[in-house]
Amino acid sequence: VAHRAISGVHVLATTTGDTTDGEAIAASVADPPRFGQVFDRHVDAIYGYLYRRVGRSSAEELTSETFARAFDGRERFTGAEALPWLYGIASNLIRHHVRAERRQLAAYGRVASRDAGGQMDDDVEGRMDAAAMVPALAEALKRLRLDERDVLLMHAWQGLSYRDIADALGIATGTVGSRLTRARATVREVLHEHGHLREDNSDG
Amino acid sequence: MDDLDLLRRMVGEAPIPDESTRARMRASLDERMEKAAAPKGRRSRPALVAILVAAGVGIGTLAAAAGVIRHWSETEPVAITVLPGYHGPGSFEGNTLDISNPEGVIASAAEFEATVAEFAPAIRLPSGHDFRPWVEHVERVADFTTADGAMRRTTVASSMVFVAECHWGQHWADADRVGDSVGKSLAIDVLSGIGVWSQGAGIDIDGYVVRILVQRMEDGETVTLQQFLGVNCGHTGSVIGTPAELDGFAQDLLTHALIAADQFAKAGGTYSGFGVLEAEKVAPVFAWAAPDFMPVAGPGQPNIAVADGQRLVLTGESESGTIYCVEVRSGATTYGRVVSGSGIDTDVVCEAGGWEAPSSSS
Repeated sequence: VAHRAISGVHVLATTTGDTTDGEAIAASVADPPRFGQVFDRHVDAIYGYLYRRVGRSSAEELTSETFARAFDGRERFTGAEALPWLYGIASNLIRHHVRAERRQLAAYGRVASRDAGGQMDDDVEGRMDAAAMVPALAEALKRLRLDERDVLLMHAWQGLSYRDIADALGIATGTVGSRLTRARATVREVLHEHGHLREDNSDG
Repeated sequence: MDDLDLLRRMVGEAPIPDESTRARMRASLDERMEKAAAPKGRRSRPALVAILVAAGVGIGTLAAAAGVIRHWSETEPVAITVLPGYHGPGSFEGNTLDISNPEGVIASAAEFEATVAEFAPAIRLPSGHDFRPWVEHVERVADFTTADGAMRRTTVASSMVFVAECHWGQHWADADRVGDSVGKSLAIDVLSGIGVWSQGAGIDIDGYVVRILVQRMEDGETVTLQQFLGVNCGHTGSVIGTPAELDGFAQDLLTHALIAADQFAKAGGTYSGFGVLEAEKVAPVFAWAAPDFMPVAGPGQPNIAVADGQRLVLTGESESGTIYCVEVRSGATTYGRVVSGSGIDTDVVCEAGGWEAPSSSS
C-alpha cells in the first residue's frame, strides 16, 4: 500500500498488487476475512480524521464502528475506491457525537498556544500566526452547520477532492462547492471579527 | 496563508494509531468477520431482517417508495425506512428514501411543526398520546436561526422516535398501575420494534436505551422505570403528572446527579474536572449538560453549572418550569431553587428551600 503524508494530508493509493478496494470488498462477500485488507489500507486515514474531529477518546470507538458498519454494508458497495465511502460513514457517525466534536473544538482553542511548536511546520512566523488564530478557527468551526463542517474539514484536513467529498456524502459536486464557499466565508468572517484578517485579506 | 492553510496548521499532521490501538480496533472487525465466515446457523442481526421482511420492505423496494411516508403498522412501529445521516454511497441498509430532502434544514418553528406533522403518521404512539408537548418544548428552547440550532429533517424523524420510546415507556408504567397486562405487553412489543429500528438507523448504536427500558419492564422494576422516565423523558411530554410529581422527578435527577459527582470527587478529592465527559463515564444514562456545551440543558438533563475545587452546583429544570439546584460548598450541601436570571451572565445562585435532602437514595 502506498501511504504517505503530505502536509498532514494522507494521500492513498488504494491498491495492493492488483487488488483494488472494490475487488477486495467484493471478494469479502464470500470470504469475509478479505475485508481486513480494507481496514489495513485505510485505518490510519479514518482514525486520523476522527481523531481530529472528535478527539482521541472517541476516535478509537468510532473508527471501529466505521469499519464494522462498512463491513455490514459491503454487499452494497459498488465503487473501486473505498476511502470516500469510509469517510462518509465516519462523518455520519460524528453526527451522533456532536458533543464529542464540540469538546474537541474547545480543546483546540485551549491548547493552541501550548502545542503550537509541536504541531506547526518550520515557518516560525507562520506558526505563531496560526497558533494565535486557533481559538478563532475553533470558534468558526463551531459556528458552521454540520454539513458545511463536514465538507470543509474533509477538504482542508483530509485533502479530499470535490468529487470524493460528493461521493462520501452522497451529494452533488456543485453542492460540495457551495457548502465549501459558505463555510470558508464563515471562517474568514470569524477571523476578521477576532482581528486576524484585514478587510483586504479575502483570499478565496 | 489562506483559511485552508490555517485550518491545516491548526491540527498539524494526522495522528497515526499506535499498534495497541490499531490492534484493538482491528479486533472488533476480526470478530465480526469471523462470525460472518462461520457456517450459517444464526444470523447476527435477525431482528432487523425479520422486521423488514415482515413489513414487506426489501432493500430493492425502497427506491420505489422514495419520498413516501407510510403509516405505522402492527409489525412496524416506525414506518420510515430512513437511516438518519446515512444517505450516500456510504450508506447501508438502504438509503433515506422515504424522506424527501432528508438533509433539508428546518429554519423556523412553522417548518418544524409541518415536518413533525408529516412524519407523525409513521411513528406509533400509544393511543391518546401525541407529539404536541414535545413540539412546544423544542420551540421553547431551540433557536432555528443559528448553526447551533440547525435541525435537519432526518434529525426530526430520529428525535420523534426517541419521543415515542418515552411515551411507550410511560404507557407501560400506566398499564402496570392498573394491572393491564395487555397494555404492558403491547408496550414491550412496540418498544422492542422501535429499538431494532433505532439500532439499524445508527441512533442507538448498541441498543442501550431501549434495552434498559425493556429490561426494567420485564423485571417489573416499576419504581426505577418511572424514575428513569422522569429524569430522561421530561422534555418529551410523555411524563404526565402533577406539577409536584414533575418537580419530584427533577429533584430525583439532581439527587442522582449529585451521587455521580460525589463519586467522581471521591477519587481526586475535588469537583474540578467534573464536566460532561467525566459525568458521562460515571452515569452514562443521563444526558448531562454544562454551560459550555450545546444544546443547553432542558428538562430531564442534569446541568453541571459549577465544578470547582470543593464547590459544586448542579441544576435541573422541571417540566413545571421551576429550575432546581443542589450546591455543595466546602462540605455543606444546599438543596434549593435557582434564583431567576442568575447563571446567565453571572454565577448561578442556588437559594435554599423548596425541597430537602432525601432521607435515602436508591
